[in-house]
Amino acid sequence: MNGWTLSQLSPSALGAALAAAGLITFVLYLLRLRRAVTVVPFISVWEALILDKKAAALRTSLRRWLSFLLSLLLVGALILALSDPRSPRERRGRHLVVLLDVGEHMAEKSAAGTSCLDVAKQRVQSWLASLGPGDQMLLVQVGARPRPLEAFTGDRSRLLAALSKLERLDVTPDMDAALLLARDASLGRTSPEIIVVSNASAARGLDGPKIEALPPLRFSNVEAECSAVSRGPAADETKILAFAARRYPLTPDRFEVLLRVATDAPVPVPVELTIQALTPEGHPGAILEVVHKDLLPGPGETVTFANLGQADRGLLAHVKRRDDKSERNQDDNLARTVLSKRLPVRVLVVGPLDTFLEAALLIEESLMVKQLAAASYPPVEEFDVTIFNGVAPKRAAHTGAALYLGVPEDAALEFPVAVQEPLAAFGFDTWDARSRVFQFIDPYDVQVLSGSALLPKAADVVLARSSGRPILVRGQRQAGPFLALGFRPEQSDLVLRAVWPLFIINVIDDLYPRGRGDTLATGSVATEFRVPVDDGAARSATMLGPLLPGRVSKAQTVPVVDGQALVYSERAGFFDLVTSSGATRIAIAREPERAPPLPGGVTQDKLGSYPVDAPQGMEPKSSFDPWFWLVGGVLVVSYLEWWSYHRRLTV
Amino acid sequence: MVLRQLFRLVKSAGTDDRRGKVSVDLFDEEFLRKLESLSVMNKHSVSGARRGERRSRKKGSGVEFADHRNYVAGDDIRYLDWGVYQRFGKLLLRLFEEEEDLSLYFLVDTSASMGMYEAAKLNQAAQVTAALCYLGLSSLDRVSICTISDRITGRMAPTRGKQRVFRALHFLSQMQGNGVTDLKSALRAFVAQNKRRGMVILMSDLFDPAGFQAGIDVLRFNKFEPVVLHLTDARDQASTLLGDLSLTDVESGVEREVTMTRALKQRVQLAFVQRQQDIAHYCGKKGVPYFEVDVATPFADVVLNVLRKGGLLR
Repeated sequence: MNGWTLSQLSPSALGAALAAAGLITFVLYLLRLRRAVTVVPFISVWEALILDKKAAALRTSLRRWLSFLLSLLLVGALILALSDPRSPRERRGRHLVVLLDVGEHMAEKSAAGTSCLDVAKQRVQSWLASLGPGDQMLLVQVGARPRPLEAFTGDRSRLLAALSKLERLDVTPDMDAALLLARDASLGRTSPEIIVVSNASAARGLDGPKIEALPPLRFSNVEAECSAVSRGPAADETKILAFAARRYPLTPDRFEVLLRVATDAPVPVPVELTIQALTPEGHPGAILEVVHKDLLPGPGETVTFANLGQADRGLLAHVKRRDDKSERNQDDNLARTVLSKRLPVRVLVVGPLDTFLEAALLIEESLMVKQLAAASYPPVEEFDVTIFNGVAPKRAAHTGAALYLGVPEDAALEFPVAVQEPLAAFGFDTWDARSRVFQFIDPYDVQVLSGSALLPKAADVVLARSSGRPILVRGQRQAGPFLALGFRPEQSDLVLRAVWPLFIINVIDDLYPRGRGDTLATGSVATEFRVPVDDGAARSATMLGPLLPGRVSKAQTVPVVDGQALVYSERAGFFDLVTSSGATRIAIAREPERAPPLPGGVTQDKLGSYPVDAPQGMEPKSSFDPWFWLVGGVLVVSYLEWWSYHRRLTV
Repeated sequence: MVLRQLFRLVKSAGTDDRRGKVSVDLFDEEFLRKLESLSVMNKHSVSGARRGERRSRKKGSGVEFADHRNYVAGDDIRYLDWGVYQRFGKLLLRLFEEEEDLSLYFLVDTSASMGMYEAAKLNQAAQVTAALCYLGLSSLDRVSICTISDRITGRMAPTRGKQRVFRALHFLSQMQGNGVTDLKSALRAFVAQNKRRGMVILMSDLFDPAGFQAGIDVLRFNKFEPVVLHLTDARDQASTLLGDLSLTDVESGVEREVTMTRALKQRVQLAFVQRQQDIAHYCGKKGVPYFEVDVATPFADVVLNVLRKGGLLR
């Protein structure tokens, strides 16, 4: 093929394919020569004419052979087209790794309202048209964790689709990691190039050691097209450094807020601090507090807002300059947090309140415990959790979830599960370690003197077994959820262990998850943190957000381990963690301390410590696709064959 | 009476769908009425066996004056021409032409080529034969029908009288296209079997590999009065077909491969036209009445217009 290579077929395979196609064509050609049988009344008339045509036999024969050769040419061209022949230059093609910065600084907008990310996306989009037939591109979204959006591909539609889904993140891009990823992805590729698309702040993400053996690095700076017209000095920025809120223990519907704000200005800056509640839908709601003050230069000031109320979960804090000076970055003037849901849990103990149980319940200050004799059950007031300590009266729904400690001897009929057989000298052989009940607990060594094996219903969940027989069952009855233990705690050494109070608290959390709730409801972008979810048995949760007015929230599945969701996001804002048991509102805040924006006019010949130049050969061009011409040739040949020899119509 | 019965018969006859077989269902009352006024014209006087409506060479008791001859003893004095005797004093006897019957033979080619295309040519031949047959029987002619291919394949014995028309129709309805064409041998057999000379109406597509001339010459040389009704069908030229064809002769089974192009198609059409002109020219040169009968022409038009204008009917 004179230096040409075939991507789909080896030369021998191509030869075999051509030979097979030629043979098939020949056979088909012979088949095509089968004539239509026509009965005529008097052959003599034709015979005279056929004899006349003998003189033209050579011409006719030539025409048939020409038709055959045209057919061969047709299939040959088709096979060549399918084998995708390319010149060596085209075959080698470039391998471009485009690192598209989606960090928070790409939110900077020009006077026309075009953000740096928009400019970057348009620029990459224009490059897609410049991809030659052999060129391939790997598009990498550079946030706190670089993420390839597609594998190396020359398919413009796929790259365009991936590009259109890109959104700005609220993180500082990790350019070092992105360069490492690009280098590794380029290994073994022909003509690799790495192109960083960012504004001048891209250099801020490069703080690691210089990476060796990096392919040619290009930098496409979009700053000129998206920089603000009146860019103020970086020192004039105001920002929120910290924002936290906590409920008062005794009056959990009231709370206090701590806000730490700072300015880089050398002189005091008049600012307006606003605390705003969030609606249940996740939208900004009522303004709770507004304070005017002069923010002094320095490391920052802490402002406390005491005794606030009228807020359900989410809180927003704004800092706004009152001197009408614009700021380059408005994003750090906003902060979010979520109030803890650690509401008091009303616990009713029915039966004797023994020392062990009382001690366990005293551990947790949010538990409001009341004791009641079995005969006085049910009480008038409502409770969140009821502990039936060796008794089992008929359950009332308004006393909440139920924990049965041991099987009662005299009222077995009201016990939520049937009793199978008595057990003696047993322990926890197997248990559901994923259940919240056994969070931080290893009950293997617990010794039990006597108890009963339980017989759960089909929908019930067995949390622990002894010799294969259920001894701890969780389920749902008409009056609410319950958890039944097959032995009295004082009949075991469990009450003597340090985990006993934890077991009781875990059970209460499991039965009434809203009580302990999300103790860690606020995290930072690009940082993993755990959030307890309502459904302790869930394996995964759906994270919806960020919750923004007028926008559909994105859904993301996050794993749930030990009743806690592992949350990671590079977007700041409010999110809902949704499980089958309900939703938990969380807030993800921006990075508390961020590097100041780089001043304008950063030289483009260096990116961090890497020398860079502008991307080359990225002008849109029309790519030559040989198989297009081959198919066109086939069509022309087909037409000629059809036109010159019309047997197709009649045979 | 006969006319009405005939009309009823042909009205009740259905189409026979069998390939190559004749179906006769074409006479309507109006056509038959017109047919009544026609008769078959023969060019020469005939020499028949019985009295008929045709002039014969014999002198006898007809009404048409023919000649005088001298009276001899024993002659019927009722035929003496008393006017001549009064003027010239000579006894001359008036002679009259004897009117005798005409032998009318219909030879229908029933070779396989006649049976093609749902026996269109055979049908047309049967219908024209039926009409002419009726005319002949009406004129008290001796009518005979023979079907031929390379031999005589069927024969309706000579018959007279209108009442025999049903027999003729029945015979015609039994015709079937089969066999190969050999006019010469078939007509030789016919001549040998029919000593009485007369008019022979040959209905054929004349697709004889040995040539149509030999067959006509056999009739001519044996003093018969041949009339050629040449049946043609545009489909014989296979004019709609193009491309690579394998042509098979329906009679001989001979196959020939041909690539039919538009140019060749035109040449085939020209060859058919030329062949038809050759037949007409030959017949004209030999004084044989020739009529081309296209199967697409309604047979009533053939009988009432083509044959009448051509002088076969009066």
